[in-house]
Amino acid sequence: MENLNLAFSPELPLWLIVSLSVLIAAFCIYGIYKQLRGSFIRAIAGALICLSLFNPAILQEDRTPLKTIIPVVIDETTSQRLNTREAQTQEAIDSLREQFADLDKFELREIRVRDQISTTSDVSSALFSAVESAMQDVPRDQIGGALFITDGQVHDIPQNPEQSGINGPLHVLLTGEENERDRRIVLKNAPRFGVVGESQEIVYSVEQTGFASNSPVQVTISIDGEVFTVETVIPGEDASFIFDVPHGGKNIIEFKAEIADGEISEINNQTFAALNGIRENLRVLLISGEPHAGERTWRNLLKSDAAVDLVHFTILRPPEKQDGTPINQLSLIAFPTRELFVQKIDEFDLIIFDRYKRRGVLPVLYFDNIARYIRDGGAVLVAAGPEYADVSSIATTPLNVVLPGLADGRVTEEPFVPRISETGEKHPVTRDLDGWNPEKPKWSRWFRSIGVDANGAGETVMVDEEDRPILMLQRHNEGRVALFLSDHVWLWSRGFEGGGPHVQLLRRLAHWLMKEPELEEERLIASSNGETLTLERQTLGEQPEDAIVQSPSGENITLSFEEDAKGIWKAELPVEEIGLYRVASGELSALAQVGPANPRELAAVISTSELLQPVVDATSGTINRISESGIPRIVAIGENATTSGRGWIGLVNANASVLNGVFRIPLFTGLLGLALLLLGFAATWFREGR
Amino acid sequence: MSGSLRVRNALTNSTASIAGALFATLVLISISDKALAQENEEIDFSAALETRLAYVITGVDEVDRISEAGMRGLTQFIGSRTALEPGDPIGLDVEVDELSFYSFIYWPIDPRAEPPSPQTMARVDRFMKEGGSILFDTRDQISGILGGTSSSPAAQALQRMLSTLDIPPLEPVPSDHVLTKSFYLLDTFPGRYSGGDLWVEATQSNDPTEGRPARAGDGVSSILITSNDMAGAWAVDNTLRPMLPTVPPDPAQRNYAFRSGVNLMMYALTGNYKADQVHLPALLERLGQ
Repeated sequence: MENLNLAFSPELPLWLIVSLSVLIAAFCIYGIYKQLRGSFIRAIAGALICLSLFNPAILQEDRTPLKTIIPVVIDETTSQRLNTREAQTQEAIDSLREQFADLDKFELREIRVRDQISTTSDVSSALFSAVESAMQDVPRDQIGGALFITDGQVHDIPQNPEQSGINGPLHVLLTGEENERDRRIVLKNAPRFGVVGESQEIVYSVEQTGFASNSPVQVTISIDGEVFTVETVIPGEDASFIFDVPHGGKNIIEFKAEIADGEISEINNQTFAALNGIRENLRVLLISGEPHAGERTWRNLLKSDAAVDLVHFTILRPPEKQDGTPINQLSLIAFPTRELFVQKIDEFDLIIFDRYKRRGVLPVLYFDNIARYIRDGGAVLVAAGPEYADVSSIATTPLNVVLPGLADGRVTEEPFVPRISETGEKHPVTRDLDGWNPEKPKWSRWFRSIGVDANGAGETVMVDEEDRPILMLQRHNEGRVALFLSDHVWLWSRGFEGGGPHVQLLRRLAHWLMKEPELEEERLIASSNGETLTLERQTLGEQPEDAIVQSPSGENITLSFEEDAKGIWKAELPVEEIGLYRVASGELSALAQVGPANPRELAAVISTSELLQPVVDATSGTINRISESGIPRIVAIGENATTSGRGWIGLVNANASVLNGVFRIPLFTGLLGLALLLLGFAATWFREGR
Repeated sequence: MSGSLRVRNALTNSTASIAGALFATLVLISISDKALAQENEEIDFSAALETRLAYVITGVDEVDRISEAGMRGLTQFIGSRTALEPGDPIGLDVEVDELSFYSFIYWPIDPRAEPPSPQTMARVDRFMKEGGSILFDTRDQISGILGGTSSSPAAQALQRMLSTLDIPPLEPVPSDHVLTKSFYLLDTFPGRYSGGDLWVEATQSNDPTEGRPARAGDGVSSILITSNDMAGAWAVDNTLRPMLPTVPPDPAQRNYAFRSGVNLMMYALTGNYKADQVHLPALLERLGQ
């Protein structure tokens, strides 16, 4: 009979019972003192009366014993996949499952902790918070300790070891080997933004653990996947990498330290920084051949572009019209042609010839130089008017070798609605232009177009209603040329017939010429939101080649693209691993980072007991390196008993139970009480009667 | 030009025809209906092809004659001295003609002219908001002097006309304004008379604390007002001889009137180009560093 209790529940007020008892006691004591007959028996009878007034009862609890719950936290983060750790972890789990199957007082609760991929959070091995959230439904006194299977690199170890939230001993089964060696690269200072062309500095260092000597290490630095330089640095010392920001948009700078023998992880020998290149001070030279109605459209567009420094010249007075007006009454300055087209031409990102007509202003030799400038990576836009078709055309200069089309002499002056060609619907310059729809574009008519014989090498992105080219684009090596075969885009800016998307069109055109990465015809973009890797392929062609995605650990996955919009193809891949993904599709490649650039998960991967030791000590737990001592035996122990010994670890049997109900057995009521009292009084009476 | 005449003739002569009446009604009730405009194949687009000096036809014959002759004179002057070679001048009926082809319109004010309807003024307002400039000329600088106030009949007519529009604050052309250097260097803008100021939209203050709303575009004044009778000074006959004497009779004044015309036209076409060129030497200097 366990769980038996005696309980009293007096029927009368306590003072009454006490005073009555005192009275009876006094009476009995007097009888015993006087040695009256039967006093002793009378005292017993009196005591029975008093006792019955206290109304004693026996209570019996009905309880079901509960199992003690033991959280087993299994660290499945990236660092746990290194080397033999995964096998060790599995070995530990198997052994625990087997042992717990025999220990019927314990219930094992497995908690698996994975990398929490996000671009903001850097805490991935969060074992303690995992315990807390997984054990919310369990009362504390039902927990008899905890088991961690980890490499010891835990990121949320409580500052105060007493407040670990673990009830009972914390036993750690440590994966990995002792004296592991690892070399890793750490970025100390990496700017996130930089102006294109200006120099930036990234400070990094090589950190080593478990190496005997501190000999210099070679670090290979790549920009956007291409090796840039190899530097030699001394481990533990800061080194700096200074470079010019190569282009606008995302620049990925990778650092790769050479791999040593027997390193626990090779992944953290490399890291990368993502730097956003900002383009500014794009220099545009705008040459207007004469004052005309469209001039302000070009001017205002370029002036309102914050990234552009505009140098504008309008030929206000051609040389043949000099009329002897004193120069001090004129607001004209000489056109510094030599300075612009010979000395400083390479400083310009774009030269626009806006209705330019040869008037003996620019020597023919200069056009040779402009053609050279284009082949060397420059850009020219010819916004042609009717002059393009006559003898003073810019197409009669040595520039003709780079132009996508030469005038055929035809100037059509009749209304037409400019249209986007089939190529143009895919081309970033003209794709999704506001107001475009193939049936009836929502923009005004134009009235003039210049006929050309196309050289076939360029792309025609805008046409008239008879499919004759209106806007042609062509590349020459690094350089680009655009030919606008109507001078009427200004009608859109003046609101004629409701106007049109001139700002959008001309801005994209200018920026395509200036090599804005977002406007590249063939482009592969990889991005990630932490859970999904999204690939976007921009192309003028048909189905692009399949993408090959290389995960940070070197696994290759092939994805095929699906058409998302005209000229845009997409593919998606769910990702779990953090780090740098490399994507290749045909000749294009892209890099995408998943998770933070320098995840803590990979920064420190050496198997260690040091970090967890204080918490383990505070809970009287143990740390057991699996590779040395194997999996210890699990022993159920009582509270306050020794928690470990040779080859075994103890988990507290909390003896918790659930109370189902209480049975109450009163002692002095009913027949039993009555019989006892009657017996007492009968005995007294009998004794006295003798 | 012939095209525009054709349209106008069609409108005036065939009002009895159902099609013509329907067309005119539609124009009146739905000026902004672009679908209609697109179907209107008869549009005269010659001014989109080459820059033409344009003036507003007032309906007062002698005024229109001088305007036309003035535009011809200025066209000839501009064509012989600058890179701009304008086509034949054109008279505009602001009620029906497409205005967006023009950057600059000369509008002489005569108290005898029929005041434009609100719909017409709405078209004018749209023209000015889309980047066009109008030079209003009250041609009454003399009568203004004689009257002693600015409330000459023409000035009053102009005030009535503009009262329906949202006109920004005006000021006489300041000495550093682009208009003073858009081709010739000028400090006055005379016509037949030389005493009147040329008024333009007040340039934005450099003081940022004043918080004036930023102007759209390049800040080219959409409205210019003079009282100097510019067209009168520019007007030439068929032998290119001046038709009207300047007051006082001074050949230099006429020359300056033409120069003013050149600067006005260049200002309308090139915007603040010349204001920019102040910074050019510094910009070129920076290149290549």
